[in-house]
Amino acid sequence: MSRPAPTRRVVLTSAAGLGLGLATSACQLDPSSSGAARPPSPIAAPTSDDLLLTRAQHAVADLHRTADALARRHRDLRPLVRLHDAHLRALDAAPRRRRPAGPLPEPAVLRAHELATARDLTDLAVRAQSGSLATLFATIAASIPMFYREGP
Amino acid sequence: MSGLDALQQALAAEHAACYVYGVLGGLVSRSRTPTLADTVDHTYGDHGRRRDELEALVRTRGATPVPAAPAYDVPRALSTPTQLVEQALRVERACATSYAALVGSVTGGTRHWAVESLTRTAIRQVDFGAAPEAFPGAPELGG
Repeated sequence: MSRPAPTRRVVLTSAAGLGLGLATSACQLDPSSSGAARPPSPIAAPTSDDLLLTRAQHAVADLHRTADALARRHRDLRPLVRLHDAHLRALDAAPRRRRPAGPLPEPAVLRAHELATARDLTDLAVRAQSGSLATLFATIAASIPMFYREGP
Repeated sequence: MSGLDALQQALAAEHAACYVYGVLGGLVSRSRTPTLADTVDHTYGDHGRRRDELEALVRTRGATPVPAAPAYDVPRALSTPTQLVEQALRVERACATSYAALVGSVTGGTRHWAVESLTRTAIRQVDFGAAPEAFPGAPELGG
């Protein structure tokens, strides 16, 4: 069986142009960078896939932060943290190092939150315009019930 | 890959899965490994349902579903529970790959169905002893 195997970089650069658009616009707004008095170009509006990607980044970063904090007391959650490490790298998102505010939830509460987020990621996959981004969201969504062995 | 091609590819993977689980069902020992036998039975039924649903999805697009091959290549050495499980895992990974490709090739309700199918086959891999993966069906996304 052969099919294209996009790397995560290809997935994100083809699906999300927000970062590049903002960087270009910031340069154009900086008068020292051009020397000419050109009117600033409008900042590129984020695409719908940019917004979905941002939502996925936040959702997985939240899961990672809570799981990472809980894994210090519950060693069985360490593999889950490693999964989310990989998810964040693929989503081009940085982990949140600050401990969650307030008391940490019980593992059962985290489990419910993880599975709910997997359903949200499935929804994001269905809404994605880019097929590659949909596949990325879908595989992350599938990995969570895979860890918990609990079906959709 | 077009949506129809991806559907046909997933259907071909399910045809193969049904065949292989039929073989495994005849080889697994119900007395010595009852849990494995139950898992194989249950998985065989689930793959049959997915195959039927894929055939329906292909027909709704006005195409003829790819038929099952007369036989599939199954290793001769399938005498131990470990060998049976390894074969089951090969089948599940092939299905996961085809479902991950299907997700990116279709839209709407069919895509939702593909994600659910991907999730089910990912969970079955763990049922057969595999470790959870960050990107089931598309490990290349891990970089």
